[in-house]
Amino acid sequence: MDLEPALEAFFAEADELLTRMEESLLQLESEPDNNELINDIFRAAHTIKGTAGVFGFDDVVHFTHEVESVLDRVRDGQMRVTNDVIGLLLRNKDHIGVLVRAVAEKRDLDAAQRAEGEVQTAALLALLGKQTDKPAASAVIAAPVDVTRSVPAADDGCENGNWHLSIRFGNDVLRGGMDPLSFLRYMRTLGDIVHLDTLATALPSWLEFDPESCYLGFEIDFRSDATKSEIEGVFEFVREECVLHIIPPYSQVSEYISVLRALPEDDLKLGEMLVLSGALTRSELERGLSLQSEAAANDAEEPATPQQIGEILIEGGAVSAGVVDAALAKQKQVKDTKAQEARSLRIDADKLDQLIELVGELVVASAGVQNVAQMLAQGHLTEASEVLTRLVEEVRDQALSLRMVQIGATFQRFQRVVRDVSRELGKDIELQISGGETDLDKTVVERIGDPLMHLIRNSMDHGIETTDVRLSAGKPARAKVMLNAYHEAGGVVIDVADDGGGLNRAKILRKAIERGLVAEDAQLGEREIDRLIFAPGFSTADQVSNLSGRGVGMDVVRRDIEALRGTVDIDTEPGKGTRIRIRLPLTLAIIDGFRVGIDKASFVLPVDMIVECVELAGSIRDGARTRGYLDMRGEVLPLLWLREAFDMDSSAPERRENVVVVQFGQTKAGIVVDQLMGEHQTVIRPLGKLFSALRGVSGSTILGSGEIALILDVAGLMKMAGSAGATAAGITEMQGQTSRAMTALG
Amino acid sequence: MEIERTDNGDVTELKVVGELTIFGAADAYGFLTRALSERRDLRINLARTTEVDSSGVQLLLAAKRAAEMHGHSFELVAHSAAMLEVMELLQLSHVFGDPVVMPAQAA
Repeated sequence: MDLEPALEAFFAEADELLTRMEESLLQLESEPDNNELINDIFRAAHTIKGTAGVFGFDDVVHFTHEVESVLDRVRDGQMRVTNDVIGLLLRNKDHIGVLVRAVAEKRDLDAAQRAEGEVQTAALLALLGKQTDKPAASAVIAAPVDVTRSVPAADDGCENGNWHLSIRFGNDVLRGGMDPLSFLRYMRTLGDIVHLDTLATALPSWLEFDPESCYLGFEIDFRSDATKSEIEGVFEFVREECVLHIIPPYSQVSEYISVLRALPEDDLKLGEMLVLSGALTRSELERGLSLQSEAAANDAEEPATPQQIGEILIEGGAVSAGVVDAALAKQKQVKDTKAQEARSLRIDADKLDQLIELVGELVVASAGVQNVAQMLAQGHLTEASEVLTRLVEEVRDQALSLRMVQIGATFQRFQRVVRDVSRELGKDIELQISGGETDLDKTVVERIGDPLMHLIRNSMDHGIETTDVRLSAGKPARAKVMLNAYHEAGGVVIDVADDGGGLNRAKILRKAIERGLVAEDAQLGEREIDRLIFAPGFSTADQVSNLSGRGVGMDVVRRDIEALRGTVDIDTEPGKGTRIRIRLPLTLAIIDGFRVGIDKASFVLPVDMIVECVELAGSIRDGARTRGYLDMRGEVLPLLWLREAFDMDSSAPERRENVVVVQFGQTKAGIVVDQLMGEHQTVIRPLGKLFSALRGVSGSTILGSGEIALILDVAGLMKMAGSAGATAAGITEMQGQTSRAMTALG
Repeated sequence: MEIERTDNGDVTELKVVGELTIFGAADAYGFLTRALSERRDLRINLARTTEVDSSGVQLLLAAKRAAEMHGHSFELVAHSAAMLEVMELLQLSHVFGDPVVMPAQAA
C-alpha cells in the first residue's frame, strides 16, 4: 500500500486550485459583483480544505476554514469585496500555499511563516468578528430541507432533528489509499456524531476475507449546522466508490424507508438500527414499512419499471418536482465535467523525459538503418527504411509535442506581480497579456519565469514614469506593461513591452563610463548603448529599491536566456516605451537538422533557420572571397567561411563551394561550406561544461554512421559573419577551442 | 507490524506490536489464519498497538466472528490509546464486548 500517489495528486491539485483562486481574485478586483468568480474562489478553498481534511493536514484545514468563512460572507452578500479584502485573501492564498508546501516537504513552518499565519488569522477573525451581529453563515441550508420543514407537522414527519448518513464504502477504498476512519474524523469537524453504528454485515467468511478490501459501512446520526453539500463534500474523494445517503433533519419517514430499500442489508435489521440510533421512533418505522409493502404489492400487479428514488420522494411530498429536476441537471453537469477531466492525463515529467530520450535514440538508430540501406542500394530495403524513417519522424514530433505547454499559465502569474508591485511603487499599471496560447517546451517555460519576472519588474520600476510625469507628458495615467508571445521561424518570441519613458541613453552611457564598463572616449551607436544594460554590474538606478537597481538583474536575464539557446534584444524609443524581445528555440531536445560538410567533417544547422542554399563558383566566388560578402539579388549578404572560422587545415575544393543562407530574427547571413548533405533528424546532446565558453557551436549529435557532428549555433555564427570580416578577432579567439572540441568529441 | 505469540494453557495470546493498518493487513491476516486454524481461544493484546485503521478494525471483527463460529473465545485486552480512539469513534465497545480499561490520564 502506498499513499504517495494520492498525496502527489493532492499537492498538484492544490497548486492548480490556488492558481485558479489567485486568477479569480485578481479578476474579482475589477468585477466585484461577479458571483461566478466568488463561487469559484469559494470552491477552490473548499476543495483544498476538504482534501486536506481527508489526509489529516490539520494546519491547512484550520487556516483554510477561516478563509472559507470569510468567503462565505462574501458569497452571501454580507461582506463587501473591497480591495483590502482581496489583498488579504491573496495573502491568505499564499499562506495556504506555504502550508501545503510545508506538508509536501514534510517540514515545519519557520518562525516568519508562522507569524504571518497568525497575523492573517487574526485579520480574518477580525473581519468575521465585526459582523457577528448579523445572521451566521449557516443560515444557508439546502433547499429541500426547507421544503420539508414547511410541510405542516403531518403524520409522516419524523421527530429527528439530526442528519442521518448511511454510507457503505466500496471494496477498493483502502487500496486507493483512503481510510474510512479519516472521513469520519474529518466529519467531526463539521458537527457531532451523536450515534454511529459500524456495520460489519458485509464481512465475508474468514477464508473469503480479503484483508485489503473494505467491507465496512456506517449508519450515522449527525448533529450539525452544515449544509447537505458540505456534508457530502466530506466524502467527495470516495463519492464514486461508495454508496452514500444523506437524510436531512426532520425528513419524512418515507425518505428513510426509500434509503432502507436502496441498501443491500435486510430492511428490518436496518430499521431496527435506525430505531436504536434514535433516527426514527418504532411507530414511525412500522407505519413506513407497512406503506412500503402495500406499495410493493401494487407494484407486483402492474409490471411497472422500478420507481426511481426521486419519484418516490416527489410522491411522498418530500420534495417538489422542480427540486429534483434541478438536482438531476446538476448531477449531469458534474458527470460531464468528470468526463472532460478524464480526457487529460497527468504524467510524471520524468517519464516523459525518458520517453523523449528513447525517441532520441530511436532517431539515431533509424538514421543508421537508413545509412546502411543507402549503402546496400537494395530497392526493398531502401523502401522499408524510408517508411521507418517517416514513422520515426512522426513519433518524434508527437513525443515532442507532449512536452509542449502553453505559456499562458506563466504569463497569468505576473498579473499578481504587477498588481502588488504597482501598489508598492504607487503607480497605476495594468498588465496586458496576449499570445498566451503559444506552445513552448515545458523546460523552457519553467526556466523563462525568472527572467520574465526580472524584466517586468524592471519595466515597472525603471521604465514606467510616475503618474505626474505621465500626465504632464500627455499620456494616460494608467500605464501598460505588455506580455506577448508568438511563433517565428522555428522559435518562439516573447515580448515584454511598456509604454513608459524609454531608456535614458545619456544616463546609461554616463553610468557605464562611471562604472568603467566603456572607455570615456568610446563612440557607441544607439543600439550599443541600449545593450549596455545587459552588461554585468550595470545599473542606472540612483537608488537601490528592493525591486531592482542592484545591477544584477539584466545581466542574469541575459545569461538565463542564453542558457536556453535564446537571445535577447532591446528596442526603445525615448518617451514612448521600451520593448525587450526574447527569442527562444522551440525545443531543447531534437531538431530537424541540415547537414553540411567541410572536407570529411560534418556540421548540422537547424533547418528552421535556413532560408536557401546557393552555389558559389567562378568569378562570383572570387569576388565574394575578396569582399567578404555576396550580392544576393541586390542585398548584401555577409559571408562566413566555416573552414576558416574553425581553423581547419584542409584546403577548399577547387571548383565550387556552397553558401547556406540562414536567418535569425531579421538578419540574414551566409555560411560557406564545401558540401550540402541534406536533412537529418538531429538529437541534440549538450556539450560538456568544458566547452561552455565555446562560441559558434551549440551542441553535438551522433550521425547514423556513428560519427559525431557539431551543431552550429546560428546566432553565434551570425555575430561573427556580421562583424567586419570572417577573420574578425572573435573568430581567432575561438579557433583553438573548437579544434580541441573536435578532438575531444571525435 | 510484528505479532508476538504466547501460548498459555488453552489460550493463545497474540500481541500486536506496531501499527495494525492496511500496510500490514496481509501479514496480520496470514498470522491470524494460522492461529484460527489451531482452534484455540484467542486473546489479542493491543497494549503496544500504535495505530489502527479501518482495515485493522474489520480484520479484528472478522477474526472475532470466525473464532466464535468455531465456539472459541476471542477477546481484546490492554487496548492502547490508538485502539481506544478508534473504538470510541466507531462506537465499537459493545460490538467487541470486552472490558476496556481506560488509561488514568484520559479518564
